[in-house]
Amino acid sequence: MKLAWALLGLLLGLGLVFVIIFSIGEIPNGHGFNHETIPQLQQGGSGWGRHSRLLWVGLVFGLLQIFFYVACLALGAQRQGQLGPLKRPLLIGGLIYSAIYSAMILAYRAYAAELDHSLVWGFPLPTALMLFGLWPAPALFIVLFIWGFDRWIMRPEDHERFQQIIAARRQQEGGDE
Amino acid sequence: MEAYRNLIILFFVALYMAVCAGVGVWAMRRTRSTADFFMAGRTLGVWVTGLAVFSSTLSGFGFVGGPGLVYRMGMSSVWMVICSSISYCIAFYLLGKRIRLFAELRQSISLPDVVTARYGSKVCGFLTALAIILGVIGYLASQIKAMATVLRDIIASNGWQTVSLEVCVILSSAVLVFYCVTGGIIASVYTDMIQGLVMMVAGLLVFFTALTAFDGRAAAAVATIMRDDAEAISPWGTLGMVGSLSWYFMFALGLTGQPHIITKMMMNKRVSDAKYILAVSVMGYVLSALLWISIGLVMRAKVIAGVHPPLADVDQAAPQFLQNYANPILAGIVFAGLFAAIMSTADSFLNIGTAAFVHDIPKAIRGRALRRELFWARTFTILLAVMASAFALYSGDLVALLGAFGWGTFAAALVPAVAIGFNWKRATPLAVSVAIISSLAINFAVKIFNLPLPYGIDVGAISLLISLLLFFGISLLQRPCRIDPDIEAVMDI
Repeated sequence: MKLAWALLGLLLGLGLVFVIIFSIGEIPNGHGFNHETIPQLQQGGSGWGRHSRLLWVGLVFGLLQIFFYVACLALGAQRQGQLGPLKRPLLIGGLIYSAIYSAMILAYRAYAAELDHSLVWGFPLPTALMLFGLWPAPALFIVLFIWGFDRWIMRPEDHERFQQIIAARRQQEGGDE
Repeated sequence: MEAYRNLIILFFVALYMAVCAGVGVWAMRRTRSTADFFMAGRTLGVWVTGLAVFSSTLSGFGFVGGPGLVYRMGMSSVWMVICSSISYCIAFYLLGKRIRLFAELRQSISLPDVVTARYGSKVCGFLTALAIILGVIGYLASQIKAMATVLRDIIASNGWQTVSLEVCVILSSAVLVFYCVTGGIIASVYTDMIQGLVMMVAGLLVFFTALTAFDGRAAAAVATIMRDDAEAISPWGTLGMVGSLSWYFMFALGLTGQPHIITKMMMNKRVSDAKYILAVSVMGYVLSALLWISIGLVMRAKVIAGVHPPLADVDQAAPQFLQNYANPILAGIVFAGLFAAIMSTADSFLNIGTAAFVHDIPKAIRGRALRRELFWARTFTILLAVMASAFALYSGDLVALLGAFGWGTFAAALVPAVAIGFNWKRATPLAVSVAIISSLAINFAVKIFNLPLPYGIDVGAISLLISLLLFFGISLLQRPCRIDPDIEAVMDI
C-alpha cells in the first residue's frame, strides 16, 4: 500500500514537471529546425540557448522517471508488502542508475556551454554516458531478477501453493458444471 | 557478385518467405485446439519465447523508420532504443510471473481474458479488446503497407517496374496469412524465433560494416556530425531534452502495455523460465537495435561530408546504405531481416486481433465463446488480413495516423490496467475503464485535431501519465472491490 502511494506521488511529481515545462515558454525552433543546405535533415542549434533554463527541469524529469521505474520493479517483486533480499540491491541499482543520469546531465551542461567537446569512446562525454552508462545500467536489475526469482519472487513453496490453488479452482469448476 | 546484387537480395527474401511458409505447414500439425491456436498450449521454451518477445517488439519501424529518424534528428530517437534495458525489466518484474499464473489458473487464451478474470468485470475485458482492435488495425495495416512497399522496390530493382503495390500487398500478405492460418500462434512464435535470429545477425553485421563505412571510422563520422551541429550528436539530438525524455517515458513504461508482447509472457512452459526469457529478450533487442543507431549516424555523416547525395526521404537511409555500402550477401540478409522485423510484429497483431474479434468480444457480450472457435479463428485471420490490406491501400493518411500512435495508445490504455492492476489489489474496475477510455480519447483527439504540443512532447507520454493518474486516483478514492478468492490467492504469491 505504501508503494502505491509512492507511485502516485511520483506520478504527481511528473505531472508537476509537465506543468512547469508548459509554463516555460519554448524559444523559437526550440525542438529543431530544417538544415540550412540539406533537405530532410534537422539541426538543433545552440544547446545552451535552448536548454539552459531547462536543465534542472530535465534533471528532475529524468530522476522522477527513474525512481518511478524502480518503484515499478519493487511493486512487481514485493510479496505482501515486503521486498526481502531484493530491497537493498534494488535501492543500490536505483541509486547507480540515478547517478549515471545525473552525471550525464552535468556532462551535457559543460558540452552545451561549449566547455568540453572531447570524445570518449568515439562520442561526446554526455552521449557516451547515455550509450555506455544509462543503457546498460539496468543490467543489474536483470541479474537480480535471475538471482532472486527462485529465492524470493517464486519460491519452491509458491509453486506448491499455486498447484493447490489450481486444484481448488478445478474442483470448483467441476462442481459448477 | 556486385552485378547480381539485386538478384541476391530477392533470393534471400524469397528464401526467407519460403522458410516462413514451411514453418506454417509444420505448425499446422501441432495446432489442434483454440488454446494451441492462441496460446501455443503454454509449451514454449526459453529461447523461443525470449526471441519471440523481442522480435515482436522491433517492427519494421526499427529497421527502416529508426535509422531514418537518427539520420534526420541525430541522437533523439536513440532514447527509444536505450530504454529497452529498463523497459524489459519493468515488463518482466511486473508481469513475468503474474500474468503467467493468471493465465494458467483461468486457462485464459488472450489478454482480455486475463483482465476479465483479474477484475471480475466483463466491461474491463470488453474495453481491453476494443483498445486492442483499434490499435491492431492501424498497426497491422502500416506493417503490411511497409512490407509491400519494400517488396515492390526489390522487385522493381530487378527489372519488373510494372508490378503494382496492390500485387505486392497480396504477395506479402499471402505468406503471412498462410502461416498464421495454418499454424496460429505456434507458427507465429516459431517464425518469430527465426525472424529474431535473422534480425540479430543482421544488426551485428550491419553494425560492424557501418563502423568501417566512413573514412576515419566511427569517431570521424561523429566529429563530422558535431562540426555541422553539435546538438545532433548530443544526448538529446535535434529534438531537444524534453521531447527526448518524453519518448523515454513512453517507451520505457509503454512496453508493458503492448498486448502483442505481453501475451507471449503467458505462453512459456514453466513459470520460472521468465527469469531467463528476460535476459534473452534484452540481448536480442540490443544486438538488433545496433542497426538502428549505426546506419542513421553513418548516413548523416556521409551526406554532411558530401560523399553521398542527400536523401529525398529519410526512410531511404537504411535501403541506401545497404545498396551502396554493404556486401550484396549482407544486404540480402538485412533485407530478409527487415521482412522478419515486419512480419514478426504483423503476425502477433493478426493473432491478438483475431482473438479479440472471435473470442473476447463475443465472450464479453454473450458470456460465452463461439462454437467451433478454431474454425472461426482461422477464417477471421484471413478476413482481418484482407481488411488491414484494404485499409493499407485505400485509407490514405489514416493508416499512417493509426500506425504512428499505436504504441502510445496501447501504453496509455493497458499499462495501468495490466501492469499496475495485476500487482495491486486496490485497483478497481471503474478505474480501469476510465483509464482505457481516457487514453483512447486523448490520443485520438490530439492526432485528429492536430493539437500542437510544445518541445516536441509526444502525446503518448501525456496520455500515459493522465491515464495512470486517473487510475491511481479513482482506485484510492473508491472502496476496495471484491476480488475472486483464487485470483487474490495468486496475487499473494
